[in-house]
Amino acid sequence: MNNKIKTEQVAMMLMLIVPVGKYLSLPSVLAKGAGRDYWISIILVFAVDFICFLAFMWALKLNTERLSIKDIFDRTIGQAAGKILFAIMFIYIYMRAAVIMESCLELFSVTFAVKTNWFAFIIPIAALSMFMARKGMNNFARLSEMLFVIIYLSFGIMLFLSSRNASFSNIKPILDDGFQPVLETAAKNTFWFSDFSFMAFIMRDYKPEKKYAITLSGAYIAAMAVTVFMNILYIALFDQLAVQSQSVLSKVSQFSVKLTTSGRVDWLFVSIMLFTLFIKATLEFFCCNECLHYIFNVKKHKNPYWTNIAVALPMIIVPVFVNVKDNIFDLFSRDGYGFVFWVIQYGLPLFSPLMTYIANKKEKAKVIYPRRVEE
Amino acid sequence: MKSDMDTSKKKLLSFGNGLRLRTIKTAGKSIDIFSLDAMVSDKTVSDCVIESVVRAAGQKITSAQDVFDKVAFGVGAEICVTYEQMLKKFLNGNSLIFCGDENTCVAVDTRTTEGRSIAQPPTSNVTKGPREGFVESVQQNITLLRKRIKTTDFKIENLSVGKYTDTVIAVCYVDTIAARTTVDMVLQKIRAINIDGIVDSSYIAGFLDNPKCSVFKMVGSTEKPDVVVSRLLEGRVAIIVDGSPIVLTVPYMFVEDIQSPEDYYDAPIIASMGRFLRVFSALASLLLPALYVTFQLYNYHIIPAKFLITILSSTDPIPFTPFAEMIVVLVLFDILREANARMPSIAGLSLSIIGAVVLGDAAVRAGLLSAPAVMIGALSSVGLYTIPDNTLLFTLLRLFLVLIGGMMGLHGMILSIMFLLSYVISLETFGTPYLAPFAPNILSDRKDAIMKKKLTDQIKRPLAIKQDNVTRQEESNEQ
Repeated sequence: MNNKIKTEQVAMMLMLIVPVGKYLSLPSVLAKGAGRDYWISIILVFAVDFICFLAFMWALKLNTERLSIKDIFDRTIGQAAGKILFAIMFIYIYMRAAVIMESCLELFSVTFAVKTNWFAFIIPIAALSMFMARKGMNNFARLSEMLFVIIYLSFGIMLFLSSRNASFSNIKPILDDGFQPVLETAAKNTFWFSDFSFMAFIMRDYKPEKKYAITLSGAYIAAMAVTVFMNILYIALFDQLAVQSQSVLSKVSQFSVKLTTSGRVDWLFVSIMLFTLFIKATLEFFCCNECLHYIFNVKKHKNPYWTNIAVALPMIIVPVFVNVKDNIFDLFSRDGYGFVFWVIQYGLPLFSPLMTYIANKKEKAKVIYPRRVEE
Repeated sequence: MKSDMDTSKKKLLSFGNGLRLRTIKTAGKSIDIFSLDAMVSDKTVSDCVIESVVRAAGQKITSAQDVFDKVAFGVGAEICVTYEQMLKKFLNGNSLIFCGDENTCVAVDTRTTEGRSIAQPPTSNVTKGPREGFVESVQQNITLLRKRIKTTDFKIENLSVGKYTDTVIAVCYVDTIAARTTVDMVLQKIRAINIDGIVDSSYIAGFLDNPKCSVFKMVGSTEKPDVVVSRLLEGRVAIIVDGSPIVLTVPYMFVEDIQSPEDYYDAPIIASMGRFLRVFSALASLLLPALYVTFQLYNYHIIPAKFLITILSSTDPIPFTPFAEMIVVLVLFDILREANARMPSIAGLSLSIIGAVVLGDAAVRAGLLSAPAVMIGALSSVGLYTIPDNTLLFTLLRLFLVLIGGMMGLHGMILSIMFLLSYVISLETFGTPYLAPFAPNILSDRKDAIMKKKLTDQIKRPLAIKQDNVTRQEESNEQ
């Protein structure tokens, strides 16, 4: 399969991946910290994210030799440090994926009134993740552009129907409790953002085209706007109850339908939106798989089954013994240990232009001496 | 040399039944004419071979070259030197003219043209547009294409495959449009075939197909010359197999199944509406039975209350679960379809009506099946025929989705669809993505995907297909 990824594909991936995952358990966690102003916390984290995103886009432009992130690490910070960074990245992405999966199970239980068995729920997803990990990043890109319209259409319908019942005066007065809780909540919950991390793994296959910066920035801003609007809508609908609600996605639209005439037709839209959750989760699995490749020096075009299994298996087994979601939320949101991953979330993107520049310069400077011909 | 010739003649004589040998004495040497019964046209043999030899009997004919120069007036006459050459020509319906004990002979094309006449193909009836369809003769099929593409760029490469059948396979392409890599790949794949016989073009399709993609159809097929011509002009390669009225085209994209030949003879808006309906009905046929089962078993909240009451009242007396009921309905329809395809045409229509109406109605009246399930099953079965190339595959996928929906509900269905999409998206044939122009999204190709634009807007050929010349028409044509 042609591995090249186009700008529009990256833009669509961003627009699908950034909002999703922020409508599950996160709003109630944020609302606990910043009350009804938690949407401002989201804007603050997004603002920092956007700066990092811009830096990363610059790095993409500087990557004229189409080096992979591993090549860049190897040529700048060295293999050992690179492996450490990949290990941190692996843990970061893995935990995010684990929480998304558990939240998704919860969403299913709440929305579709089915107490789904964990194994019955996760094994097909693990199988899908393994399958997609074998197909490569290009598959995600194509899948995103295939589903983009239908997902955003259902998203739009859901938001439109829900906003008719929303009382936007609920978000006022803004900053009634001051800016401190908003800022603290933002700083404590950074772990759940920086969704552009996956772009580290497209560096080799993506060649920035004309106006790529406008397209990608536009997509990122649109995705952020949708996320913020969804969260404002959530407060507008639930006001004080926003703290208690779990699985926001299925709750937001519950007042928009009349059961007798239309049933819970909004759940159909929720179901369509679940595609994005699965795309995000499987993409994170894919990134973990790539991290393992780099850590264990797996050759470029090889994709051994053991790395796929190594990523999928703990995802199935660990949550049986540990409440992954609550523990991770406690660790990175309540206790604020999210800063551990700032090196990946912010450090890496901010330094990526410099690292990319150096690595590409070294690559260009490589002089290939002609082999001496024995006479 | 003499013994060689004797051996060739002896070998030919060993054919026994079907072999015809006519010896004519001339002023020089005696001339032996070999022909194979049923493979040759008696009239051509009489007029172009025997009559010519008899007329030339007074002349001094001493070698195959003399036969070639003075006797064999047929267009396809050729001097054969080796026994293999002679045998091949002989088996293909050529008459062999031996002069005395010479070790060479002249093969004259006396093949019979008997076969089905050109008619409207039964698999693709159209109300507008050309009605000619391919027949079983490779020569006639090439003629049908040549009549439409009058350029020296239209190339045909003849190959023969099959240890016993030695079937002629013609690979056709427009040299200045089709990518050389694609043509070479097709030729290479066909040359690599080592099989005892090729009976139909579908045998070749199996070899052109990527072995990993056995579930989905990866090679296009049609019985209409106008369709093949339009595909050749888009940079595809056509493969004509002797003995088969179905011509293969590669690369193949899923969108081709949505397109009907008639779309190109209708107004763009009408064609677009037709295509949209085809996509909608194919999706509905695929998903509706599974959604019906899922909603009834797990997610009945989604169904509006009034509608739910109606469904419940009709499904209440049914002894089966919704899952089992839908499986029964779908299998029943599949049995009817299979039987209908194999029934003699005299009994086919009446029996299929009895099967579909009487059985369905009787099952509902007897309380074995519910009316909504029968209705959904029937709608789904009929709807699948809007995409004729993939009907059987979609039948299989529909059953698979019902099974998943029945066991895992919406979760399973969403995951199955993602699995399916990821799989289909990753497919490629001869470097062309299977789901193009949707994944990857190719804007200019979308002008002839679901929404069809005017011909004047289609400046470029499909970019998804590798080709050497992407410009279909000059922009000045645009009005």
